[in-house]
Amino acid sequence: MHRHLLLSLVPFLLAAPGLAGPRPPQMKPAWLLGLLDDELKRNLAVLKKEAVPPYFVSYTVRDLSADHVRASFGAVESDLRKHARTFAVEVRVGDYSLDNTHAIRGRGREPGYSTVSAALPIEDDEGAIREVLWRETDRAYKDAVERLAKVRTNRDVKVGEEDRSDDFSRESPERFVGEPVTIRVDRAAWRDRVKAWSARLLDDPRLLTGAASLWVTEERRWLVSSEGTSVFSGTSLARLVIEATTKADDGMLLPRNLTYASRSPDGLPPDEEVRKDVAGMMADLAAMRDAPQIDPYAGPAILSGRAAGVFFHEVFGHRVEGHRQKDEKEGQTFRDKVGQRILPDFLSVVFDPALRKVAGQEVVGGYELDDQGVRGRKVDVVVGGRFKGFLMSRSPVKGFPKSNGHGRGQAGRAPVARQSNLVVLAGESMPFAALKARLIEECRRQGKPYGLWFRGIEGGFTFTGREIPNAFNVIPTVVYRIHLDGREEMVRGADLIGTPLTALTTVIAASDRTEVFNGVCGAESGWVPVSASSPDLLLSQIEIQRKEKSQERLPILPPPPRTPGGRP
Amino acid sequence: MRRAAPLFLLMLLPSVAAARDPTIETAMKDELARTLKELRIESHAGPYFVAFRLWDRASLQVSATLGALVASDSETARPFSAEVRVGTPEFDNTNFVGGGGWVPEKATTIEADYHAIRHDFWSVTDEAYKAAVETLSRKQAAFENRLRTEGLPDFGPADPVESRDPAVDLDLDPGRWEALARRLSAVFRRFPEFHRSSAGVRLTRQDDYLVTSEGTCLIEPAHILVIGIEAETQAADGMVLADATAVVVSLPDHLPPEAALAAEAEDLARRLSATRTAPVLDDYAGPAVFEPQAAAEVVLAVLARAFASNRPPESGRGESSLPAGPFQNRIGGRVLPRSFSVVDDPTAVAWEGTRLMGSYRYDDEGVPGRKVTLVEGGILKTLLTSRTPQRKLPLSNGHGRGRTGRPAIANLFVDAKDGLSAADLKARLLDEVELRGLPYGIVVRRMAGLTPTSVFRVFPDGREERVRGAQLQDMNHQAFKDILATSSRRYAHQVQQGDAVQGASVVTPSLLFEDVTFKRRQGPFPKLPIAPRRQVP
Repeated sequence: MHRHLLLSLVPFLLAAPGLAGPRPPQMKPAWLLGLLDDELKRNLAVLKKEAVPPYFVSYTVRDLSADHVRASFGAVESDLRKHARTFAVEVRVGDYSLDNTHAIRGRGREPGYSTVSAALPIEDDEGAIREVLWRETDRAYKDAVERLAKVRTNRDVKVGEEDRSDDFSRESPERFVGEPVTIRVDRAAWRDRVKAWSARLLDDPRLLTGAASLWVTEERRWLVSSEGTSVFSGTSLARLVIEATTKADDGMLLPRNLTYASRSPDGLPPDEEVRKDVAGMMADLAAMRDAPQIDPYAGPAILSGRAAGVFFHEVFGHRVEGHRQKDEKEGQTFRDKVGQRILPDFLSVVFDPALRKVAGQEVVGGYELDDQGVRGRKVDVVVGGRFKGFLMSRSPVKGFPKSNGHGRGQAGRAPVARQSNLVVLAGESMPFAALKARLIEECRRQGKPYGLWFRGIEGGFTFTGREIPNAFNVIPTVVYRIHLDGREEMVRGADLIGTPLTALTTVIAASDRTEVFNGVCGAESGWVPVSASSPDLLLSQIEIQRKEKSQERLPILPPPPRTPGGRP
Repeated sequence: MRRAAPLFLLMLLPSVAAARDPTIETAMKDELARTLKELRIESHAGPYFVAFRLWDRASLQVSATLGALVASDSETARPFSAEVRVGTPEFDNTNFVGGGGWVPEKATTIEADYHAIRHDFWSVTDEAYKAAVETLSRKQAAFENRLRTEGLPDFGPADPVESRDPAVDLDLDPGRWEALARRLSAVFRRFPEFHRSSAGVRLTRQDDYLVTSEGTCLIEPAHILVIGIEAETQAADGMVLADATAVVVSLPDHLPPEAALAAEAEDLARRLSATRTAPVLDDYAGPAVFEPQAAAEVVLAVLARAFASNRPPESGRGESSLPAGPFQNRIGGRVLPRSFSVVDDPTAVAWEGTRLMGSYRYDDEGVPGRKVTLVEGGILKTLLTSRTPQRKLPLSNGHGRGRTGRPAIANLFVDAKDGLSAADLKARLLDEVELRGLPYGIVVRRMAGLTPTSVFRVFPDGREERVRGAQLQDMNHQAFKDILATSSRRYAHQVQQGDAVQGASVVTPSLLFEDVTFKRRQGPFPKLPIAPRRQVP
């Protein structure tokens, strides 16, 4: 099995099991914290007397409320409100050095193995809540004991592991009671806005799909553990995605989207700005239809700031997630690279959960405490081109025995090391015009008739495993050829290929402006909000192939008329 | 005030009638007309049949445990589909293994937006037509060098129908149902020996639209309300025991009073609680009585499925890999004792005062639902059919149901002459027990699907003892040939099958089977919970 990592448009709301009418009554965070703590201690006291006692138990409750509205070509397709609570329990038996969560070699992946989860009543009813906590704790404990036996056998019959790190890091407990975040969503107003934006897409009859979607979610999280951690916190996220597809005459499908995210709907751009962006997206799509197909190309290219951010998130970020270094099925690209130069020396990369803004723009990948109750810390992953270390959850790897507060996951999933706010920093920079001149200069040096400029890129699938080539696939959406005379010419059908390390090492210059991409990222622990910020980057070597063309022809009939008896 | 309608006129209107916006119908018809007139690829014929379907649905789903709400979800959605056939009814793009892939369900706007609805049908029809043309050419290639052994046509004829039933206005406010789910689930607070329990309500209101190139235009309201109650526990040896019950009606007004629903929950709780401490049944082979609810579940799982004939798609490489139904080749043969007759009747609305869930005027292919005598004198006469012709069954009898239009039962009536009273049926069981020299016979009172949940041994002296851990083994249509006796009283079992709003009923007497095998459930069973639970009053 391969791991699919994806910086995506799919909302994390998809995973929530229920949807409800009214917003939950204002819950008293302390009441549920007390109940969780009491039930945890009560169960632990009994389980401690068993032959294989737990050395760690944690309870997490996540209460998620979400509003969603989607409209296609001016007509609402869905308009819902969801509310669900998920309870997850983690029971560890064995000890910090070897426990039931240890990877069993020679077997397929077991997603979320260390967490047992269930729906919890959305009402604060002690009896009903206690039953779920008690029942699921029992189940999790039995699973843990059974798995530990398998772990021990597996270790006895297989060759020694390359990385003999502990299974669980020791961290000091956190006690933190934050404020619940309450978002007021003017549903009617947002519904009208979403309708109006998607209605603009009717103006181009050659668009096959055209939709706008808004998600507003607020989450409350309770976390208690046998180590003494007791945390309540609230977060929120508003996301707007506007997407459209068209087809070139030869059948090539051309997608394009706009995506915005903020902690609150008020933080999304104002109506006029979105309208302007929609118009720009429509102009892009129309131009793309008529643009020539790209030829296979290997040579210099500029990635716009957003494109570079996504690029770094996909090809670099996922490979510095700590737990992957331990998994012997993983590529472990950077495992033996600590202290070595992996990027040009003018580049640095940090992940910082404490950031709220980058270059004056909001970033949404931040938090105070991660989903294992560890304080989110700034991690200098690359300093001056040299690799310093990994993003860490509480799963240690060789040389990195502690978490740096990047254990993240969606409700009901076992947290693993995930990205937060990624920032690419350039020690030397130049205005964009100079960067473009530098691209042309580089083309001349390499004897290329033109260079490429990737204005838009979408996250694709990244494979970090060993079973298939350690390749990445980010999808360029808006691409230009920059001719030697400076002329810009849009092309379509570009497919980026290549291997990550090579692509990364060919960065030769950066611009002095930083762009931000906010999105949600999906991996084995589910969807989490992230951001990626970067200046425009000039790479001396990037490889492009022509996208496989869809054989589907254009629609046979023109779109239908707008009104009965009307003309198309 | 000229516009105000006189009061008495309003009072004459049926209370359930709601206005229906004509936009959906107009949009579907207009796009269908354009499709028929203009949709074709040069060098290929246009479609010979097109059906547009749309399900205008509002639903709510509520669940609660121990008196507390777990979820309360409301949804409004309009899934839709376009069926496109190219070729001829004798040989078209369907019934072919290499046929087009599965098309994901798409949903159109929930607003009265003429253009958006047409736009969606346009786009889906375009894809469906292209796929149909491709499939037909693959099918033609596959059959080019061989004769189709059966030579069955692909699509049967049907007369066009036009009908619009008034929309039904249902209150979808979740408040009432949340309160009901809380109260029903609270019954289990008095049973701390259970590990899990819930009560839920699912209410769906839907308008089914069907517009076809043959001129059919059907708009039919469909609605269903299901109250589900379930619980789970473990016996002392660790055996996991679960029981579930569902009350299925078409409208909230048809629900029994709440006290009766609470009694259902209470009964389930008592049954499960008693089963928990009951002895385990040893392996058993011999006579068994299935009382009406259990008989209905067996009829549903075994007979009803066998009556719903399904034509396996052809591959062009000889025999289809998919098996035909067990009754496919048995028409004219005996499938039940001589005293039995079986009828499926979608036109029946009620039986002995019980409203039936499988009633409809037109099936999901727009064919009038017809009463079908399936078994007479124990002999299989015919099967339930849709517009997909089967061997010896070229015509639909109005049983193409659900999104796929596959044959399925509506209201199935199992009838037998010479039914016995309850006491006589038990005596008959004990006669058989004695004849076979068995220590006891078996009575199954309740089943959930094919899992017996309430099972008793009956000793020769008439004493009954509840047992647990009985699993039905090899229960199939063969067993029905050897039914020894039935009860005179019958019972109507209401279920929800297939799609969200597809109901069905089974009316059956108790059945005494000559030979039923029960296998004891084997461990190892999960251990009991280690920590005791904390009781909260």
